[in-house]
Amino acid sequence: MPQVDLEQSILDGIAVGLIVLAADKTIARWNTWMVAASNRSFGAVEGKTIAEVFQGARIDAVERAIDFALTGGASTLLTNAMHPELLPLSTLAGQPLLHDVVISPLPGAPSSGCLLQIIDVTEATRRERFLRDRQNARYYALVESAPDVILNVDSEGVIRLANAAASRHFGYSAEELVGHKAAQFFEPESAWPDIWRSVATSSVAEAPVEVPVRLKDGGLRHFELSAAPWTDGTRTFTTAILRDIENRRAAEAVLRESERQSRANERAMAELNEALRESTDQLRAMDRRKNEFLATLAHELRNPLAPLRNGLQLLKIAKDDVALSERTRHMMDVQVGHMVRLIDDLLDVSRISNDRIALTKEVTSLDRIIRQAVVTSNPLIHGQQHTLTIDLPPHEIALEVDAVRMTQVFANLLNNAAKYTPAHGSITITAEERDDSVIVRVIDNGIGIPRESLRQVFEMFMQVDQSLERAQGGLGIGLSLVKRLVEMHGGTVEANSRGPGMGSEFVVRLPVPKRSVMAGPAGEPSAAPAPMAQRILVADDNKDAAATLALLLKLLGHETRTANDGIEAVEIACQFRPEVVLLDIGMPRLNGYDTARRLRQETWGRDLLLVALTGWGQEADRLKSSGAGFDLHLVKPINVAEIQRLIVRSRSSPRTRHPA
Amino acid sequence: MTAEAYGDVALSDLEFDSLTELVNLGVSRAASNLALMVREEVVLTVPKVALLSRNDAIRTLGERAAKSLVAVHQTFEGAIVGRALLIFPEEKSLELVRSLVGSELSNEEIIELEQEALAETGNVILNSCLATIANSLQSSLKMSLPEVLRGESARFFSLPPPPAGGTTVMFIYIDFLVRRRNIEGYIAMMMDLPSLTALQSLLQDLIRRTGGPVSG
Repeated sequence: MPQVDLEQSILDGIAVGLIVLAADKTIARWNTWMVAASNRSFGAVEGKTIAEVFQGARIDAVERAIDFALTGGASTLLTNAMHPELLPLSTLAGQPLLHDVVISPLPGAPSSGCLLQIIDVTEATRRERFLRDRQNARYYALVESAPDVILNVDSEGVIRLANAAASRHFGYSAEELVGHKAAQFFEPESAWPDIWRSVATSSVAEAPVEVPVRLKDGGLRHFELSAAPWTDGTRTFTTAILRDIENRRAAEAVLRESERQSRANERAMAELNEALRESTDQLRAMDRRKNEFLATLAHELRNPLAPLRNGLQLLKIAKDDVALSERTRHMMDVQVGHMVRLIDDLLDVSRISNDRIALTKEVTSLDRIIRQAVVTSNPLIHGQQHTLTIDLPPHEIALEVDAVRMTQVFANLLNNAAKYTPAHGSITITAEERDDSVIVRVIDNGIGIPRESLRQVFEMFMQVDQSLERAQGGLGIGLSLVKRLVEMHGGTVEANSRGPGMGSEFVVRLPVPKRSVMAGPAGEPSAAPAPMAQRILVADDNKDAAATLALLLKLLGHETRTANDGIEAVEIACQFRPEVVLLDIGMPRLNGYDTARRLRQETWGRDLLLVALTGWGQEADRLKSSGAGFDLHLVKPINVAEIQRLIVRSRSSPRTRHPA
Repeated sequence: MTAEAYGDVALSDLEFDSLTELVNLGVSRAASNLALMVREEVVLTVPKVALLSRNDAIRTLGERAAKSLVAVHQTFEGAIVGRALLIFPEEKSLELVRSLVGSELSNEEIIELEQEALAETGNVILNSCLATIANSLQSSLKMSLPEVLRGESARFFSLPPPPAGGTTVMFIYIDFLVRRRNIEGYIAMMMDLPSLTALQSLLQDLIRRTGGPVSG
């Protein structure tokens, strides 16, 4: 049996390359693994150095390690990782053989030699590559195909990985993202450190946050970012997943806008409803005022008819009594004039409403116009025994106006003052020039205007106080006319009052022409005055009506007295002790109803024949007068013959006794 | 100057200065070997050398460095017996590898290389230091292959024998400057008491031979 070299057999059997170097670094052993890997037989390498065997190879690291082993006793590891293809070796299949080399000293000091072990790491390296490729494939499948942006950011805030979606969404290439600070892509830049801090301190994925990202094209787009930290065993990274939520935001914005719009619509609808309601209220008020106006109109038109009818009867009776005829005719003239004015006012209002009034402007003086207005209003002012003070500047103030219309304006204001001021009142008209305008004030110490009504007094059909004792007649269109006419002249009018009982002031501002030439002199003012066996008291605030009716009754043989308001009627009745009292309902100070009640309270008043004289002929009015104690209700104009007949009939039949 | 002392062994100032010089010599040798390996200028400096108890070493590392550490471990035996560790904060290990192998490699490839590169780098540095010290002391040391360890500092200083766990640690602060990267690390050499006594005696021999601290 041949001698077996056991040591050599072991060396050859080991699946590792083994080279033994002698102390002089020459090859002393070379196992069969080395023969196969280097394709060199031991015979071919014996006694040579490593450098001589592997000429051309970069084996300086091996040589240094050999020196280390031989001189320093150190073992050295040279890895394939750090020294790829250190020795030119190949596998049996002819592929490059990847290997580590371990160089260690053999015993002895200095070393008797050293041992080189060449370890095949080809399979291990390939397996790692294969695993990495597989991992990469999975990674690509997961990360690269993700529709959302995925970024890996290291603890320095530098992007280490950016998937395809990152480039797609942000517009930057992978190179422009990877290796750059993540913060620069967020708006503001502090957004990222904030996210990183919250992630780093929680270790749990935070709830997604909304962050705006600055795109390469300069645009800003919102993403929902969720981030979670992880570590590769050495360092901490943060993986951020960003989902584009621009569309969702846009939808939310649309929704918010639509909600806002719908709220705005609701508000607008509510405002519209409110406006509609107000407008309806206004229409209702207007309608009510119109109805009141129509009633007033009937009343006002009827009022002058009574004295006129009385006048006609007087004229018939008077016949040869020239003085009486003259007085009666004058009275009738005044009443007709009053009616004409009423009707003119009505027509004017109608014309102005339809824009059919044309101004005939001329240059004239304020003084002339005011004097003309005073003439027009004089009957009313004098009738009420008011004191009128006219305070105009000494110099003439020129105006360019329609003289007729402007006279109408001030006459209306004066009439208004006269009507709404108790008898013996004081009315003042003043004028002053200021800048380019003239200011005319008509001031009275009358009943005044409540603050809340100041703006309404100029409205059509408006009478501030509808109570009877103050309803001084008129249609409630005088002030409306004033306002419209003043405005047509480019002026303004306002009403002032410190309140009920404090008088009123009407201020008219009219523009003054630059320079004007005066027209001719104003017209002269003419003043207008107002006068059976039963005792009869006639009370009517229309003095003419009262006087004429009393006169007629006197002519019929009765004893008569007149009163012009309720208080006066009661006073006179106390002395005169009438058997018949004819009471107007709409009287100042004390109206007809209250006067009737007071008369009925007197012992001598219970058997009186109380007759209501009124322009108000509706059933409600009759009920009201009956309730107040009236025996009869006559609607104006009054026919004196009818009164005579009623008196006779009532005295010849049993009558209701009125309780106190 | 007080003597660096631990336990029963107290190195005199002169002995400690000599040891410090030997360490510096070894580290500069390591730098030149590393430079040959990576074909880049490598500067290694030693700001401080200290002899610490095991617990002090653990505490010092715990205070100075991150909790997670990486170490290259080798044993040595001869006149003195013990373990040598090259220690870095784990977070710096990839940076160290990148600085050594160059930045043209991808992060992935560097991660792949990390373990081997650390092992080799530690191997070069520890071999250089230990061999230089052994040569200077006219002694011989047999050094094992490198092994990479990860974990907290306490783990590195309580490895199971052999060699028997020493109680004294020679703690060498070390600064790497490679490709403008500056990385702080430590070399720890653990020896038992007999080894320390032997080291002291070798140092005394060296001082006698050279008439003073050795020069580079």
